[in-house]
Amino acid sequence: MISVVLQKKLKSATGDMLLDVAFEIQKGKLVTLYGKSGAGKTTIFRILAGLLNPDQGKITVNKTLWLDTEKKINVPPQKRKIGFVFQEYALFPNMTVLENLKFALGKNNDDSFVKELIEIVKLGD
Amino acid sequence: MDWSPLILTFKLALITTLLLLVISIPLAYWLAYTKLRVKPIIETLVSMPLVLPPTVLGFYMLIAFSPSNAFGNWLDEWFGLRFVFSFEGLVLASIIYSLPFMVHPIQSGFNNLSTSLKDAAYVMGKSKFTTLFKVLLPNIRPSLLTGIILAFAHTIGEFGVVLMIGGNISGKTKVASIAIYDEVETLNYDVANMYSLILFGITFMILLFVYLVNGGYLKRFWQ
Repeated sequence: MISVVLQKKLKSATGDMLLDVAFEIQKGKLVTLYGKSGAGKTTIFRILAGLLNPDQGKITVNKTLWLDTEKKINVPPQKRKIGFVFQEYALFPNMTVLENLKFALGKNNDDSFVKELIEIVKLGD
Repeated sequence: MDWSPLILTFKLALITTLLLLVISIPLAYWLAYTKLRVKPIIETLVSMPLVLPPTVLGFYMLIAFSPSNAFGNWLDEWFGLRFVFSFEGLVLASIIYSLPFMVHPIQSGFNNLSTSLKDAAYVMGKSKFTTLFKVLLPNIRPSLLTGIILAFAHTIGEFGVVLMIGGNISGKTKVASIAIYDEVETLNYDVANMYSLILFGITFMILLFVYLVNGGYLKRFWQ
């Protein structure tokens, strides 16, 4: 289960606003977040991933604490196991598709299936 | 013709550029991503050599590092470093003088990169160090090249600051730009012309090289 409580002051086009949300997500559920443009959807995701710090908040994932501003706990994004698809795609332009996939996989993992993936989408030679 | 001023000039430019690269990458990275309030002050300090007359910089360095002063004396006694009228002094002065030419291109390179690149690397568990060297720096290669070349060319073109802190010691601190001035003073226009032509030609080639590479002309040529 994921539980999230967070508050952050945001500067929007119409002036200052307070992003103030609290929610829980049960294990195995598919959850969609929707709202007006500028409501803070991306901000919530970025805070979940650890890319942005809220003013106040607490995030627990399966009983592990990811963030607790009171206890000054803040697990860096590198240590949070989270997948993230960015609004604008984030392929690394300095690498080929193969290198991008291998980089994402990390050094100590078997990369034999990467070539297979590339064949499936017909990006092989 | 004495070649030592030219050799000294390029030695100074090379050492200065290498040291500047090591200093400027972390500094530009910090400036590009920090949210601290001291940022504008640091930015101003970095940019000061752009507008200050080089003689001002040279004058204060001369005062600060003079062995007759407490600070200069301390450096001399503890580290055996004497920055006044020495090659080391030229390197230090050049580093400060050319700092904005290296930091600005690299900083704007970082700023122009989409933040998702950095974020994506972090979410995949890549450390800040790996992200910097595997993702950020390879994607700002044109900015790095611009910084390196501008710092190098700018160091070659130094005059005021070098004259103030280094003086005019043949083979030690007499760089080409000062040698030209020297030769003109003694009415050796031929030698001054030779130095000038060589500097003109080399700096032209260096800058042309940057514009060719960054404009993609060389790639087209090779393919």
